[in-house]
Amino acid sequence: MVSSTFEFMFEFNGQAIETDKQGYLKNVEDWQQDMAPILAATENIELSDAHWEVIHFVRHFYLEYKTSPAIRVLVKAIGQSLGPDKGNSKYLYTLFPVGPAKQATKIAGLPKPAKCL
Amino acid sequence: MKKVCIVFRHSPYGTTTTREGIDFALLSASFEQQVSLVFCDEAVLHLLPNQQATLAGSKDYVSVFKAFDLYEIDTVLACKQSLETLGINQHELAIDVQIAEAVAISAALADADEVLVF
Amino acid sequence: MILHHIQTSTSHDNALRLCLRYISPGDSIILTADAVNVLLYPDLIILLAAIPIYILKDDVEARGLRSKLTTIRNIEINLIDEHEFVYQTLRHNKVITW
Repeated sequence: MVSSTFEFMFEFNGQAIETDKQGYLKNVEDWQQDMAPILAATENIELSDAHWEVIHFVRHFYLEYKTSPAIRVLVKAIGQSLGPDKGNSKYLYTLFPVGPAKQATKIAGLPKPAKCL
Repeated sequence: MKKVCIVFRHSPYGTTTTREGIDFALLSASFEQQVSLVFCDEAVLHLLPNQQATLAGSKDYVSVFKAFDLYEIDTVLACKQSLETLGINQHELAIDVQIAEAVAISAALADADEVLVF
Repeated sequence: MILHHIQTSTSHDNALRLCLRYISPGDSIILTADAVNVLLYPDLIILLAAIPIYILKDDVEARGLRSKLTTIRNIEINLIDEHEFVYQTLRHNKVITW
């Protein structure tokens, strides 16, 4: 049993993982691949390969640029790397209906993008 | 759409000023404003490579400079005089910027709808 | 036509010098708060010679510097109140606060 030392948290492999009140991880380094399906479930998303591609993409984006991409930037960056079929908001909204930037960053263990205040 | 020119004039990490300005710039660009950036005085030090902001107790807000093109921030000026004063050559800089004479910076300030200095 | 607003003392901030580097003909400068101390530096006053200068009266008087103004020659200094400050911000195309 993990003692609840954080205001917002969930338990993962016997460890307390701190989040903000909307469920975004507080520490980017806490994230592991196996955590993604759990985070996705809180968004009612079941992860497919297509989801994973975007999740890895936003995670790499964050690790390189140290910021979570807002939707416009995400669309553009994905378009440049994965091609126009995937670099458009229609495709990304199909995968992440509530908001690709918002949901993909959450599942990838990143802070919420600044634009989604 | 407004032309917003954001001027940075403070050295890295001693204050959070530049970080606030960068947040403002990225947000403005996300809201489809036409953003241009000017680095002058010791703020040009932000353009040096191999920085480790976290060692100075700061969030790393410099890595995102490499993504300016993704934010469609195409105009990034660095003050030539400031670089020369600090002995920095253009080829040392971590990102592509336009080295600007004072008159070019004056023109950028005059051309913008709004100028914010951080 | 830009109104450059300086608020800090030249002894601890480079705002005025930087502003002077990029100022264009037709621009003006307004000095408020600690920036009014510029009046005490003869070497800086020389640099301001060709530029219309506005100074907020209350900031000058708060610091007991009113009498110092009378000793300054050859530069255009306009002592203004807050209403005039607002008017100047509207008269110029934009304000840059350094």
